[in-house]
Amino acid sequence: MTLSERLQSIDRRVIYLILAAVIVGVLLHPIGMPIRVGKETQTVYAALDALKPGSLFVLSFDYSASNVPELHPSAIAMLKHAFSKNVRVVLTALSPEGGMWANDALGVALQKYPDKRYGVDYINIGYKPGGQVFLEKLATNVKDACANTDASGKPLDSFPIMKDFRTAADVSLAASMTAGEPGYPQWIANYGEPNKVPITAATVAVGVSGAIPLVTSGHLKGVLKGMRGAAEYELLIKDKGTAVAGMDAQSLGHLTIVFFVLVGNIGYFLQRARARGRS
Amino acid sequence: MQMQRVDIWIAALLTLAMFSFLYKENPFYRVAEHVFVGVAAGHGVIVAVDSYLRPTVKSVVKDDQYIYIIPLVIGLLIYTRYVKSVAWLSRITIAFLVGIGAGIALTRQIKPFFLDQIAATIKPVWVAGKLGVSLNNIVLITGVVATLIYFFFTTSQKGVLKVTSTYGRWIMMIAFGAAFGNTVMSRISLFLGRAQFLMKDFLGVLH
Repeated sequence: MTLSERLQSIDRRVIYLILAAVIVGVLLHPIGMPIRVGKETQTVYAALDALKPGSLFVLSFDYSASNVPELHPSAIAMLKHAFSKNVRVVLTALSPEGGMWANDALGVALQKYPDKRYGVDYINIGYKPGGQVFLEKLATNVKDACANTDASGKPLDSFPIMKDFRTAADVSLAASMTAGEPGYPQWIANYGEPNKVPITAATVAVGVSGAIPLVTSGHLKGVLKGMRGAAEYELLIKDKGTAVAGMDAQSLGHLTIVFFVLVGNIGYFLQRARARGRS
Repeated sequence: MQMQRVDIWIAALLTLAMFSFLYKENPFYRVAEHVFVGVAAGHGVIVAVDSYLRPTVKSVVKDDQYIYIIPLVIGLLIYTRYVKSVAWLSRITIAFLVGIGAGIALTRQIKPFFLDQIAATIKPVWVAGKLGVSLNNIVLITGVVATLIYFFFTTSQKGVLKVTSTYGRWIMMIAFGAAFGNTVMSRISLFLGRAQFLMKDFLGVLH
C-alpha cells in the first residue's frame, strides 16, 4: 500500500480514539485558549441587561436531554443574569422534557441567588402542549393557556407574580433555548411579532445558519450559538461554568478534525498526481 | 442535575454502551438502543396522557367546561380508521389539524419569514466610510440574486445567466460548508457533554 493510499484509508476507529484522547486530555489539563465574545452574544446580553428591575422575562426551555450540553449552560447563564438584575423570570417549555430542565437550571442558579422566592421572583409554568397554538393563547390569556397550573400543578392565581403576568403586553423580553421545532421560529411568529415582544434565543450550533438571517432582519435580538455562545455569555456575566470549561476541548477537537481532513485531502491529491504521472 | 449514585451508574453504563458502537456493532449497544426506544415510547405515552388528556377530561368533569367535549370527540374520531365502514370520519380530525396548521402558518409566518426577509435583503451597496459594511451588503445582495438565478430553469443557462448561476452555486457551497462546520461543532459539543459527565459525575476526576 502506498503512502497516498494509507493516508486515505485510516481506520475510522483510530480517528475516533485520537479525537477522544485529545478531548479528554484537554478537559483534564485545560490550556486556557482565549475566547472572544461575538457580536450576537453581546446583543443577547445587552437585551437582557437593559431590562429594569421587576420587569418580566420569559425563558423557554425548548430542548430535550440530547441537546443539554449545548443549551443548558446558556439557560443557566441567562437565568443567573436575570436574577442578578432583579428581573422576574417566568420559566416555560415547549418541549416535554423542558419543565424538568427548567427545574434543574433553577437549582443551579438558586445556589448563587438563594434569596429569590418562588411565585414572587420567578415561577416555572413547566411544559405546556400545543406549540404555536399554546403561544397564541399565552399571548392573550396566560391563565387559560396554562390551564391555570404551574409545573407542579398548583393554581397560578395563588402566586403574586401572576398578577403582573396576564398577557404578552406584560413581558419585556422572551428567550427560547431552541433545539428544533417548536422553538424560536414559533416564538417569533406567534408571540413576538404579533405582540411586539422582543425575542432572543440560544440555538444548537447546527441551527445557527437558520438563525442568523433572523438576527439580520431584527426578529431575533442576537443569538447564542451552541456551547460556544454559552461560554461567551458565561464570560460576560463573569461566572464561568461548564461551557467555558469545555471550550479548549472543543477548539482542539476541531483542530483534530481539520488535521484529518487535510491528511485525507493530501492523500487524494498525491494519488491523483501518481495516476496522472502513469497515464 | 442532582443525580443519585445509582442514576449516575445507569447513565454512565448506557453512555459507554452507546459509544461501544463506534468500535463495532455489539450486544451492549443493542441493549442500550432498545432501552432508549422503550423509554422514549413510554415517556411519550405518559406526556400525552398527563399533558393533553388528563387536563382536558378534568376541565370537563370537574370544572364544567363542556366546550372541551368538542375537541375530545374530534380527537377520538381519528380512531375510526380502524373500522372500515366509518373510517371516513377520521378525515374530520385530519382536516381540523391541517386547517389549523395552514391558518396559523398563513397568518403568522409569511411576514417574518418571507416578506421581512426580502426587505432585509434590500440594502445600500455603498455605505460612506464603512467599507466592511458595504462589502457585506454587496455579498448579501449579489449572493441572494445569484442563488435565485441558479434555480431559474425557464430558459437554458448561457452567457450572463450561466456566470451568475455559477456564482450562486459557489455561494451555496460556502453556505453548506459553514453549515457543516456548525454541525461538527454541535456533535463535538454533545460528546463533550458526555465526556464531562463521565469524568466529573461518574469517575470524579474532573472538578
